[in-house]
Amino acid sequence: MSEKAKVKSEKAKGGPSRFEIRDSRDRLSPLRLLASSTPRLFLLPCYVGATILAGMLALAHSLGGWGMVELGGWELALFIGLAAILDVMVVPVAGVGAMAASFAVFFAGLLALGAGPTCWVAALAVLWSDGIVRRKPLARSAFNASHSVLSLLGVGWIFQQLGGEVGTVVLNRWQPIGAVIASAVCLWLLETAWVSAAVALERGGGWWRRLTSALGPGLAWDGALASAGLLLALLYQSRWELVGQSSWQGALFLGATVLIPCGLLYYAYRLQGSLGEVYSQSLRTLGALLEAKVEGSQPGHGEQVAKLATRLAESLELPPAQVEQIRYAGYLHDIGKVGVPSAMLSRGRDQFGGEPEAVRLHAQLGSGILSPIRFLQPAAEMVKAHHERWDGLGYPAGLRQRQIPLGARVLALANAYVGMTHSPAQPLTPDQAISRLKQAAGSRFDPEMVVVLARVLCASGEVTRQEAGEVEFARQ
Amino acid sequence: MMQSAVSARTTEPARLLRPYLLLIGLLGWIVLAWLLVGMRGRMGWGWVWPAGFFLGLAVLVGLQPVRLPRGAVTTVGFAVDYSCLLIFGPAVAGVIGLVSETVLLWKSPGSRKLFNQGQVVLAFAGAGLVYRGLGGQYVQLAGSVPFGEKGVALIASGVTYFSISSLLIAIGIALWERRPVAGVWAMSFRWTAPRFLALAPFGLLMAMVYQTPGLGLVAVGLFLAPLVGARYAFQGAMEMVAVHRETVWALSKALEAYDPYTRDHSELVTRYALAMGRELALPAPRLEILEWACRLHDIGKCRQDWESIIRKPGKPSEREWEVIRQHPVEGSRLAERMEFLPHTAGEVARIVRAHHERLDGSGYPDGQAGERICLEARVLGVADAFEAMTARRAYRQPRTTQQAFAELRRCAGSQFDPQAVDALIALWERGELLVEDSLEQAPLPALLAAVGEAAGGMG
Repeated sequence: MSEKAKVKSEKAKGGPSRFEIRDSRDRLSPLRLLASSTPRLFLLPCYVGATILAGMLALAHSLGGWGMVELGGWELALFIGLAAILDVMVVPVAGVGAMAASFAVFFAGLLALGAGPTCWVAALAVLWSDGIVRRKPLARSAFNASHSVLSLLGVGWIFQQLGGEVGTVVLNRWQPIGAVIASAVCLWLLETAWVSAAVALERGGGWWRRLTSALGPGLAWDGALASAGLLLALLYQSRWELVGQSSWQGALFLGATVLIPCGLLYYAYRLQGSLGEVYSQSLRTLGALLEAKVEGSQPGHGEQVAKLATRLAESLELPPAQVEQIRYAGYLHDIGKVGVPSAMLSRGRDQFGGEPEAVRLHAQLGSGILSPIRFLQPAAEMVKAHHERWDGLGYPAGLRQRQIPLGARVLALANAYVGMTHSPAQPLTPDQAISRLKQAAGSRFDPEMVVVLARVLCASGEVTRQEAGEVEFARQ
Repeated sequence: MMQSAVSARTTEPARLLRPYLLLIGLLGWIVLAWLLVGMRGRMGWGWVWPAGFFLGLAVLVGLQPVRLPRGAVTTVGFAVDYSCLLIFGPAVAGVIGLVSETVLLWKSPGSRKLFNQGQVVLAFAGAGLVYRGLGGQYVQLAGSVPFGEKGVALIASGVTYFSISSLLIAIGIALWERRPVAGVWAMSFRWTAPRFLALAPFGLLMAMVYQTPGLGLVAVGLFLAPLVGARYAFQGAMEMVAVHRETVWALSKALEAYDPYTRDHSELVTRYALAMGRELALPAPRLEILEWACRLHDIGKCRQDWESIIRKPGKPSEREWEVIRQHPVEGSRLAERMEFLPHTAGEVARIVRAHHERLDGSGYPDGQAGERICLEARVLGVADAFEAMTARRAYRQPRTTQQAFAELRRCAGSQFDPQAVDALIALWERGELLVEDSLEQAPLPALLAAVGEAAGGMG
């Protein structure tokens, strides 16, 4: 989907501020819809360019302040090597995309070598890991290197203002301890703010919101790494007098002390992160299995519903955990059909155009299958209510309007749209489907949800602007 | 500080168990007293405060185990134990181990507490003896130790600690469950050895960090912070693994639950196969893989025309036969997309694919023979056949267990693995195989009845 098209279409429609959402219980306040600020792609190059320029100037300048600590060439090589290895260890963090484990070495360098040499360490390590290992575009790698350089120089200045002495960190008096802790906090804040601004400009979502959502998860990660970094600085300071007589043993020891705990931390974070993906994949497979087993179901239906429902939920700015549950419910919304005799499923509609009683039971059966799984409780509720109608004429409970869980309303709409556009007998075009849905807005479907769906489909170019625009017109 | 998964007990413990526990406990106390007397006067009192710190650490680590799925538990206690040994020597380390075991097992019966105290002290004493014998020194005595030159002593002492500790516990479990010691050790400890010994570098690094002048305990604390973070992330991952397992199993069960022909089939097959796997002394991780394979072995049958093919009278056509032959392949493809166990990618899928192979190579889909078929698949094949023969199904009378055994025996060596068949029969003869359908009934039948009623009303 083209971001520019989205921006343009929003302009054409006069922005999203015309939607009126009365009830804020679902966290659907107008403020939130406004805050889904579109990406500002024209500002992004300015921001990135300014950062890179400032970073390069700072690097050149820091050459002048080189001699703060007498540095052997291979000592610098040790720091660069460690930073380069740890910079490859990246974990995903909500809000800013990713955070690297090299934070530990950067912080250690700040304390032990001073900001000047450390920003060279950082620049080289980041350029290597981003540019060569991960093959990112040059601008991206340069931006990442530059913001690290600038943060390090800034924090180095703060450290010295607070009375910290580079190369002789002592931990038996309060003032130096305070300087160390304050520098760690500042480095964490600066790095996060710098990156979240870029991500907000590129992908939208608001800088402040991205920053605040990234600070929490980043705290544990960076805190642990700061501790490892402080240890590295202290051991480096003691110059491994006692550890090994030859320098390669000392280097091995220093490297192991940092790499082993940080590597383990990285492994555990990665494991945790990869599991969400595996879980989602399993539910997708199970949903596909269900389609293979149940007569009359369309292969791929669950996956398409899940995809569309996720897009809808994301554009409603629901919290990630809820979006996830909506996606799961999408994969499995018809799982109750395994309990319905296939003769019933293939019978079609009765003379009143309704589904047979036995088929109607599938919503309840499905939630009965899912609800013993504690983790899927929210999804089970959505599955149960995905055939409820806005006017209260749905099944199984006949809930009305906002009594129906938000996720179920999303699911119902996605289900209907996918069903119409992928019907084997007479598939509708997206435009036709949207106009049908608009007719049913307020009777079968949540009218606001229909508006959001139209907006999402229009932004991606699936539905023409006229069709989507009429929705707003009708609502005025 | 090793704990094994609590296994179901079916027999009375051996009479020797109690004397054994008491003997090890007493031996431990005597050795500790002897070590302390030997240490007297050589160390001063400088070790008391750091030893207190490490004791607290050992207790904390023991209280915060990582819960692996299915009730198994692992701790990183060995890292702390090992660094205690390198810093303080066996006497003080023995005291630390003894006190921490006492605290951790506060609510256990006295004999178990005593045994664990003794077991820890003996492991420390043995490891210390080996370390000193190979020229190692202790930090607290020597001020600092050039660890870099004592590689052999370090490795040997770690191995000694693990061997003594695991062997003493394995003997205890063997007496408790009346099983051979070698089998218990192979099942519970052999596979943990690499993971356990991988903790030794942590212990070593902790000791090295501790001897940095002017830092000591502060440095140890800084060293531990990332490890604490890793522990919590790992715990979160393990919870996710448990959720994943629960979800996949519940849903795959639901897919077969409404079919009167297959209801509970996989559940029973799983039960038989796991009992056989334990009988054949498969280690815990392979049992876990076997369980996944059992639960998912028939998902390849999820297709609308399966029933009509299977229930059709007469020989299946060439096309239908192809469908039947392909179901393990289809199943393994699906299993591959669903399994998640760290480091075992593809194992479950391999077993599912091979569960209709025969020993003489006449099975499907690949026609593999003999040892080429993995043991888990052979076990699953026997369990599958046994369940199919004995299950009560709406459409036919089940065979008796004896008839089923006769059939399995007849085909052992050609179709079935004789080892697996023997294991199954041995379990039955000891009364450890629950063949009666005692599965708890899920609330599904009530809903099924409701569907039936609605359908009836429609007709």
